[in-house]
Amino acid sequence: MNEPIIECRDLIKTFSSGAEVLHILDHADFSLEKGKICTILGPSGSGKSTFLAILGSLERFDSGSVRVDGYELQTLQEKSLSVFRRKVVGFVFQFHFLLGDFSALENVALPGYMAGLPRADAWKRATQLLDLVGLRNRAHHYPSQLSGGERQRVAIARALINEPPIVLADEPTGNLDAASSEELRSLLQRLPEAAKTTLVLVTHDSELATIGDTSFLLKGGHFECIR
Amino acid sequence: MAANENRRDQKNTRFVPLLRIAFRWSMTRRKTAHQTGLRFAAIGIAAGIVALIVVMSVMNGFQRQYIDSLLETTSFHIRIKAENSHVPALSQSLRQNPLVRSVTPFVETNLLAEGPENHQSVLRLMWVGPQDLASDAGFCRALHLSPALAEEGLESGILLGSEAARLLGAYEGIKITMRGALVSPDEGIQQYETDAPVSRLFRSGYYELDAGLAIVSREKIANLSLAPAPTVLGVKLKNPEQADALVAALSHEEGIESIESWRDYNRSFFSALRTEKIVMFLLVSIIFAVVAINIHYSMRRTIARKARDLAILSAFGTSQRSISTIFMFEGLIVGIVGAALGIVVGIPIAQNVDRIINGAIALLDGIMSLLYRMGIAKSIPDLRLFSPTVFYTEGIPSRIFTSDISLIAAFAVIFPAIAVYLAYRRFRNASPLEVLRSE
Amino acid sequence: MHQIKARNLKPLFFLGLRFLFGKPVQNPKAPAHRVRHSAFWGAVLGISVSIVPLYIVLFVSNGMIQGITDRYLETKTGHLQLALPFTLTGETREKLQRDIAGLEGVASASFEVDGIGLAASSRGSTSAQVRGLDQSIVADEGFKKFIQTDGGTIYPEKQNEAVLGRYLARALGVGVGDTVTLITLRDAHEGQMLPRLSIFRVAGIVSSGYRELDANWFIVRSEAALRLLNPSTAYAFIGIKTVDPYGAGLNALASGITDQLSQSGFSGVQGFSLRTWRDIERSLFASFSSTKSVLILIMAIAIIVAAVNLASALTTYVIEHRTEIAILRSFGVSSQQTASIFLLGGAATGTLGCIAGSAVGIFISFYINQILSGIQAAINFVSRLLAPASHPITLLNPDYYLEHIPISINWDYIILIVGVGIAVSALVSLVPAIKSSRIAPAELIRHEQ
Repeated sequence: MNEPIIECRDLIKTFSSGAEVLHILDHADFSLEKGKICTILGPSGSGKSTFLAILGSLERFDSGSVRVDGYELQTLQEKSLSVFRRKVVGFVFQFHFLLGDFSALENVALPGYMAGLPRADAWKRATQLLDLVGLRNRAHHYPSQLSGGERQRVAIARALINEPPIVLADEPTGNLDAASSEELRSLLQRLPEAAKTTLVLVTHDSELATIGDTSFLLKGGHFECIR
Repeated sequence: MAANENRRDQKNTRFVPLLRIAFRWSMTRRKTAHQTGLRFAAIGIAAGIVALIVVMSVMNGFQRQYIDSLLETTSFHIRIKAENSHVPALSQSLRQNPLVRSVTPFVETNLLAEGPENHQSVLRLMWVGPQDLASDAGFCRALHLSPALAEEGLESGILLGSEAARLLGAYEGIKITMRGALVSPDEGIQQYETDAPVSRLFRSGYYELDAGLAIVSREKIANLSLAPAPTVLGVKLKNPEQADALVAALSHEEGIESIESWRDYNRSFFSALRTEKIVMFLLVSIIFAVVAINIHYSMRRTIARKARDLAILSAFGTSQRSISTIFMFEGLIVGIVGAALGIVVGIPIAQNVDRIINGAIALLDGIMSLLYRMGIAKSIPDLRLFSPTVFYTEGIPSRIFTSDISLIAAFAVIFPAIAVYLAYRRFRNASPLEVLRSE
Repeated sequence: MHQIKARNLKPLFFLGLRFLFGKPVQNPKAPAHRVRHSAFWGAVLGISVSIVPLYIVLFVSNGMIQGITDRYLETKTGHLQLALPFTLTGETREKLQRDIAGLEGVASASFEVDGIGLAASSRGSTSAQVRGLDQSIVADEGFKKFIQTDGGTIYPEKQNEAVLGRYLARALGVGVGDTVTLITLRDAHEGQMLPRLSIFRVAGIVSSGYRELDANWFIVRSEAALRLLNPSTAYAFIGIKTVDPYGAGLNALASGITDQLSQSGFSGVQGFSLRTWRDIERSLFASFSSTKSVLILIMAIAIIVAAVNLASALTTYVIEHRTEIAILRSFGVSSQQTASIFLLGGAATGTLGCIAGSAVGIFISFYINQILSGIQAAINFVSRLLAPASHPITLLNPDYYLEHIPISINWDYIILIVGVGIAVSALVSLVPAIKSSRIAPAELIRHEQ
């Protein structure tokens, strides 16, 4: 049997805003096998993004255990967190969050360059990834010169530069129109195979949700497996 | 008529909204990056002002010391070389002139003086009447002698500068002999000498006077076989600035051989002093230039970010002039706040430079002696900035002039204003529609 | 666990420089881009503007001090002075001179006797600094290098001739060929002093270029001075010129000469004492270096303000680009790397500013004499237009300063200034850098919500 690449047990995450205490995750359990596409659905504001952020080590959690690709997130210190973010996950946000002073190619190459790849290798890999997402001819354009859909594709390419075992995508089509969403959807569907990676997708786009091998619904702080 | 009044009203009422916009933009409670930038700029201006005030006031202090000593003693405000026969009449008529404070007739020569144990020095000897010296209160004040002491001293001997006494090995009571020569084409070389006991030492604080000046009673000239030099009338005015005017008025009077104002007499010295002051001012103003650069770029960023708001305002008919006024306000506010802060901090510092520097040196001294005792430092350096072993001065003088402060404040306000104006000009030409469309 | 030691600085520089300065070449030249990064060009400009006057003050004051020092050394104090008792006979003294001149490291040894007198002419009388020099001064290259003549010779050929300093000649209203009277005091019997009147013909008028030094020079032949001056108060010495007066070997040479003295049978007790030039004019040079220190202190304030400017630009940048920094952190850039990016960026900005400022500062210093004459001409031109009666002004008044400033570009200073500039920039970038390292990627998630 395949060892799950992501495994969460008894996860608790609360937000307090004033007098109210919100239980985003309330003794939640979650697990995912390698190489699959998993979609997480749920009502708006239910904490799907927060969960994704926890998986990506961008958010801390109150208690429980989260194991991602062998890393026990609750034990990781500052330095190791950086290593984790570099090696294990690639994050795609709803907003593209590309760096405006860098070209598409440079944006994609940057995480690899910063992680220690020699410059030539990083740039080469970035070119290949831009190829993968179909933007080779836009490599030297700056984010301000790209359309919304193109920017998001660059963001995906960037997430892949360090060959992470897991890609986390938070509402990737949230800001896109129908045509771009469709393009993105087919790209994401090919991802596990093309990039040898596991994909966790948070979305409330019902079309997008269909690409998942497994689907979960996050409601009331718990995960319900839909598929 | 009515139309004109209407227009005038319009202009006035639009001023208030502009001011409100300016205030809203610059005084929001939120700690934006722009705010930080402006705050730094105001502090920078204040620092520049403090530096400028302190430096200028110390320079003024040193310079004024010299100038005041000079103008009250050897230079006077106007020096008139007169024929001996005309001296009494001229003196009297000048003393009655309302502009004149005092008239001191004197004869001036250089003599080779000899003290005990063969010490020699060349002295500039002024032969002045004791009553004349006493009535020239400014002269006495410059020598730090009361008129009574000065008069009494002259009557009983020589008033000698303290440094000259040291060079000659002389002190009060000792007789010194002074010898001079008069060379004329007709009579050839005539030697003369005079001697007198040192009755009193003076210390003006100006080295050239204390090491070179001696004053003896004019009555002693009668004992000489010749007149060592022509008589000069040293005229002092209530307001030295009027010297040139008076010189022009008097230049054709009878009996006057030559006449010059203090400006002519000390031309090269004063021009050197003035050049020094200007150079110092410029060097320290570099600080303002640096701060202005900061403001300029900070403003460009702000204006760029506010471009959208500005475009909307412009589309609704606010004139370019009004918009630029808003930014000018911010620049002026920075300048004014910085200037005010700088002046409030700078003036007390300038007034107490001496105490502050001594305190700092004492502190450093304390640290150095601690290190010395601990064996870390091998010796204690002399940290005195204007060490008395090197400079002939007691403490660090400082004088603050209102004219200096006004000039400094003007610089402080002008630099930021220009910086802001230049920043604004770059955006003036963008049309509102373009800006809105590029969003 | 998986620790990668990313010691490589290149990515950090790449990121830092691009963040701060942008890349104008490929980016569309939208005003937005230029404005985003102009702050740092502004910081570069600010730093270079503040460094330029530091260079000018440093090189000009060094140049002045060097020029004045050289003149003192070559025309007045010599490199070493061996004070002699007045009573030393000519023969003994000449032998001593020859012995010293023969020592290694010594270029020449000449005899001089100085005293005070009163010089008089029909214009009036004024103090005279009597310098009795010996013939060898005419061959002294150093002396001739700094002495200009306004007429006549630099050394009197006859016993009754004198060479005057320019200002003395002017005060007395005499020119070459005129006569001037000198009064000196000499010991007579029973401790009484008697005046001696001597008449000299002006054989030449000279200047060293620095008025303070030569204003009252009354140069006569040493034999004449010996007759005129008072033995107990005149100062007789052998002025020694060495091969390298500024070198470390000077003190060693001095001890060598002292040994030579003892060998020849003289000792300190009998009125011999040896001093180096630094001792002789100690207070003069101390006053120069005091003044120089004060000026440099003041210039330092401008540099500090420029550095604070840089800090403020960096801080502003970090505040305004929180999101971008959070992005970096999200894909694994550590907090240390983040801080380094801004530290390096700030130091790079400072370096650029230092280098630009150094180039301009050095250029201006090098051509300062020409620049000053140009400014002077311009000011006089304008003031003559506005007020025709006004006197022409001189910026470097020859009465108080050297007319021509000798500038020598000393690379030690340049390296020091650039080094300190970079260090200060790095120091001042520390706070914004640390601030940037505190930004957590969690902001990105909250940002979206």
